[in-house]
Amino acid sequence: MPSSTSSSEPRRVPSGNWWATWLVTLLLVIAMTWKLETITRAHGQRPTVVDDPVWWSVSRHTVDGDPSVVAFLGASRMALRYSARAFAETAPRLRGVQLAIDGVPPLGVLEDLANDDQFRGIAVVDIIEWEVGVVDDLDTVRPYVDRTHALWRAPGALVNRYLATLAQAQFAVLATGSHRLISSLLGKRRWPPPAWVVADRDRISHADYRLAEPAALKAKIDGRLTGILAGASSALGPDAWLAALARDIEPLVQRIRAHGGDVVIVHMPLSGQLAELFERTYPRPRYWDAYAARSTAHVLHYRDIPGMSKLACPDEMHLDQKDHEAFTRALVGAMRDQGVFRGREP
Amino acid sequence: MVGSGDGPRVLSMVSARLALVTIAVVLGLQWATRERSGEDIVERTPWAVRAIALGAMIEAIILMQGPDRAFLYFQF
Repeated sequence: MPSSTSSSEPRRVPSGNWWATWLVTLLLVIAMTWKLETITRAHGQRPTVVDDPVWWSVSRHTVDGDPSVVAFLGASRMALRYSARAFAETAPRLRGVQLAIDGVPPLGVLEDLANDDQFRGIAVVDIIEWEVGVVDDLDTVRPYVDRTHALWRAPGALVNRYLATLAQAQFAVLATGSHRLISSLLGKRRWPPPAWVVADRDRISHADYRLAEPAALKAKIDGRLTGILAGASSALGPDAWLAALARDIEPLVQRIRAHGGDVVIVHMPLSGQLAELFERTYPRPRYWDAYAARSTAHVLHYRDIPGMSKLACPDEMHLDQKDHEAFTRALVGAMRDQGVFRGREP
Repeated sequence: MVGSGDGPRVLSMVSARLALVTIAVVLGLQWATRERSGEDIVERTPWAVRAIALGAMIEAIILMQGPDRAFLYFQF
């Protein structure tokens, strides 16, 4: 039986018409990719750039000592609201950088900016009541921050990331992937439904809720409500909640202000039952307003911002892409009204 | 692995079946070609079939994108 292990003997190239083989292979790959891409797009899927610590680090490195930098921090709520175009139009002398990470609370990134003596810009932070006092926040952000401070150690990953971004930004079929494609075709006998959220190469997310299947959207809303209701009984009381903010956020705000930066804390719009649940569980006068009164940061609530308070979230927590520009314009207007940009817009 | 007990199911039934079929095909090919070298098999395969097999493999690599699947491993 021939050995399957490697040998030091050079292996001969099998004879045959290799020019024809590779030419047909190339044509087949192009044809298959084109066909899959056409079908995928016909089913509504758009190209999306997969986010990861390397790609986030590239954005993080653009947050330098420039006082005109405005860094947007948060999780999916911020990612699905910020419009780079609207920001550039409403604040052309400032430089917006999207640092929100899906599924990762912003405290660790805020701490990273606080530790960065070079940072003199503005950090806009999405905070929601139920995340205050959560102990394990920093574990999820650690790979991102660690990679930022050692990006030079992974040149291969960086090159790979740039190449992958180039491809992912062009081909919708890459957003579906072979596993999901085969699983859906074999399991449900249909082409996989499109993702309603995609991201571009600038890490800007776009949510088209018209693509969402109503049943899937309802299941997401119900699941979130069930989870929050289950945890509502153990929600922090107003004093403990304010103490957690004083312990976790305020020192970071003060450190950022000490090296010339500034911090804006924003409560993002919510809708429907979720908004009612939050208002019941965390009455605004005893929670948010009490925090705004004592914080050294600029504290904004969506209900106080014209142009933001009436925006409706299709899944009760995130905005559709058609509202991202309105949200960003309203936020920039509110920050300007508060004097946040004073001295930073020459 | 496929969740016959009370524990959490790691793979969906479709994924589990797919994995089993793939393993069976790979083992079957290994068994069928146990007396022949890889070079022999390639030489006896018509070039058009080679092209289809290579194309399918390249397409599979292209479609298996993901954040943890870097092609370039080079780290200090």
